[in-house]
Amino acid sequence: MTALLQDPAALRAIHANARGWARVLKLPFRQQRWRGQSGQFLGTGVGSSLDFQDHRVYQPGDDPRQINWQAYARTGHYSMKLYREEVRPLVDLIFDVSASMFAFPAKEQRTLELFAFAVEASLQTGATLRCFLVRGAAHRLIENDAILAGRWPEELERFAETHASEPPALARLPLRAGSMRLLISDLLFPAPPESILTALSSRNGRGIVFAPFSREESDPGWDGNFEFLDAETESLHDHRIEPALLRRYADAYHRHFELWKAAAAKQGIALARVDAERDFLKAMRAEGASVGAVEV
Amino acid sequence: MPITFSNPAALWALLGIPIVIAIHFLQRRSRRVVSTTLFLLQQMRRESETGNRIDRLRVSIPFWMQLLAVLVLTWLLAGPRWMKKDAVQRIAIVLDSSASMSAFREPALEAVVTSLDSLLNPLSRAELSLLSSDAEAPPLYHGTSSVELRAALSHWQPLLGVHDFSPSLRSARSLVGEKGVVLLITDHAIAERPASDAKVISIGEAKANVGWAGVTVERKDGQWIWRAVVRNYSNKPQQRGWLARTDKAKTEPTPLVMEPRETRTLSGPFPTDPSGVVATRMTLELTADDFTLDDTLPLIQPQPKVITLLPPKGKSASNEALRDFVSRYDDVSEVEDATTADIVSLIWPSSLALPDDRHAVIFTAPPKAENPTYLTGRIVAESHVLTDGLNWQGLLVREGIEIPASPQDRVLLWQGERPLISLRSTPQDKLQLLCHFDLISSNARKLPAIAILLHRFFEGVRLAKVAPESANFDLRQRLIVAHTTKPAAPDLILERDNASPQTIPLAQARLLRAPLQPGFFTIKQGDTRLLTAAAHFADAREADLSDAAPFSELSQAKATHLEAVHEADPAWRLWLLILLAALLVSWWFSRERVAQDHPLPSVPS
Repeated sequence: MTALLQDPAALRAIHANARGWARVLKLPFRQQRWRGQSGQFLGTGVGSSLDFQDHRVYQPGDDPRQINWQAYARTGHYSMKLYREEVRPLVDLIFDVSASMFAFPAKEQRTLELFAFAVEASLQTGATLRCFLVRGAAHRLIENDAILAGRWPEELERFAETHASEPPALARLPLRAGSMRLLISDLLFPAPPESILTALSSRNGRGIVFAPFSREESDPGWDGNFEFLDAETESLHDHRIEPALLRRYADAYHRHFELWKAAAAKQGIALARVDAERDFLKAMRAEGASVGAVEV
Repeated sequence: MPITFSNPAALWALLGIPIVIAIHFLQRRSRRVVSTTLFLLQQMRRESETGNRIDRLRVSIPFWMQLLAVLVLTWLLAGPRWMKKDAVQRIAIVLDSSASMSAFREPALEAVVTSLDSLLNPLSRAELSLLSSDAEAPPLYHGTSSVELRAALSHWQPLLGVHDFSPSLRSARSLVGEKGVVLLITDHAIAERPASDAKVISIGEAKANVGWAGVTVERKDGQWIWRAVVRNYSNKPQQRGWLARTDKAKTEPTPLVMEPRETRTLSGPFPTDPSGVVATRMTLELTADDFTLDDTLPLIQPQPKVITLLPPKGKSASNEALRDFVSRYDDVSEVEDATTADIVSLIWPSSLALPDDRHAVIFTAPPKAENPTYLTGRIVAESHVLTDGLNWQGLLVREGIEIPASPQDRVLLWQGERPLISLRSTPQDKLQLLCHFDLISSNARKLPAIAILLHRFFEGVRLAKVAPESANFDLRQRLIVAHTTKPAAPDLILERDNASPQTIPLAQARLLRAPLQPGFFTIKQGDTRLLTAAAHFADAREADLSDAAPFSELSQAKATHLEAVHEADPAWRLWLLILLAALLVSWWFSRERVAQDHPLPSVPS
């Protein structure tokens, strides 16, 4: 475990920053119709919010406060003004805690910032947040209090060491119907995107993927012989990297995420890659806003 | 345009190329980095083969820059030079003609060929000279062909004694000019720089030599005895054998064991042939070694020319004293007939007329006065071959008769203003020694100077006498052979054993020398045999081969030659800048790579 993960104070500091970012950047709750407990966001049904929705003929039992008296004066018929209901959104936050997410300092920092932002942005809007830590086929549900207290890394030690290189098994997660599914993952596994994204959009879910990346992955600058330490398995692999091969690697890396983006667009999932080296807000605005992963 | 290098050894720097390649081949990138995208690399496994402990050649910029730097550095160090347009290669080789070089003849010839091959560029015109260190000898070769020069090497005969190379080196320098190359090929290192900026190549090596170092022949008890000196020149004991050979017989070989640097004298009589006749000539022979000149020693019984002397007539004390005085010299015989005498001795005044066609020794008669006074005054000798080095201060002469002077007289000795001894040259080229004092009242008979003076005078007469003689000579010793110089006189003929006769014009008779090789020889004029002689080697300095050592300044000669006929690379500054730039670029890119290395973070468990 990295020093940053072992430092609750540092994690709380990241959360403190994330609160500020959450006041600037919002999760796109408004783009979705919600059901559930009353809250701040418009629901799919009729409610008591200020947002006008429709007119309809008065029916017995309707709330007489909603009768449109001006229309009655003009027409002599009772008609009702219908307003949108306001509900509390559901947010299922899925945090890929595979080792690759913490492989590089910048990426680790950005990963933790994204996690903190997702939590704070959800909580600030009054959403009902459920957070899952996922590593391969295993997952653990963590309490919000543990997150805010910076104690959630303790859960990492409870994951089994096996199957660490497998892609996150999202299908096994008890995601709530109609919830916003936030996936924070670098998406660096050889599994096809559809197997992951389908879980995000199933059962009327709204999927958003934040994929942090660092320059060590996108532009590694390798040249010569390297002894690669697999971040997931910690196994060593010798490879000789020549400029031509490095170009092919860059193409493959780019193609890998193009596939993910195409698959996400196909399923209506916003996929935002977040540069670890840039300022957080700038990095989020750069791609997150354009794909609808966040709102300004 | 032919290219050469002033420092070819610098081409070894090209080994830096395989070294650089090997470094780039063998360098093992042990950099360990964390990868989160290994699955992408493994998809391209074929392209990124793993497990090679030896890396394939990595054609990075530092690699090319380092190769370029090695090439440019080699180029600069090697000093490339181009042949000048219209360049003429002028090379003069002077071969040491000292006798010691005969022991190294083959290495010397090989050195000439090697030097030419090393210096000459076949694509350029050459002017070649081959000279002997004998300044009196003509050049062995002068031309443009190295092939003809090699053929001329066969005419080189190293038979001289110790001599000065400077005249030949100056001649060589004058042939090749200031920028040409003068090579001196000898067998020993020369302590001082040779003249004319000649470069020295010594092909010698220390060799053991035992040889005859000299001989004397003398008559003892009516028998001719030879005494020969044999010497071991080496620093190690040597074992040889020697024998004496005549025309008809030879002795059995006698073992001879010589200690280091030992000199031993061997002696014996001239052998007799089976018929009991004593041989007039013989040859002493040693077991042959590398230096053959001193392995044979030819000898001949010396027979000097005898001069005839006409003693003074009469029984007076003066005549008897003079007769007794002059008859004591060797090889002088008295005759009674003035016409057959070479020298006439008489007391002045004489009843005989002083002949102009004869050499003469004349003393005056004693003074008639009673106890005449001794001459006073300082005794001064003129510079003359007869008087040089003689001490006359002990001569006591009384006042007496003085022989009348003649314009042809040259006074040799003065006392005050009075001549004591004078020398008269007659119109017929005869010399008459006039002593203006008597032998009775003076102490001349006890004075060594007078005896030596007369000896010199007799030897001069003997030397000028045309008569047969026999003698032993050193090789190449100058010979003075009295011969007839009349206008119709025939030329001299030098005859040697196993060699064709050599005719010597009378005009060159004064240049006559003993042969260069040991052996017997005769000199005739017409049918008259003038000299029967033997020539032997007796130069101990040349026979000593212990100081011979290899040495070579060929590389310097080559550098001088290159300097003269080649021009340097004018772009060397540009190459230097390229070298610096290559090193800088290589360092820069290596530095960037180091900066790209990532630290190894810890991985969360």
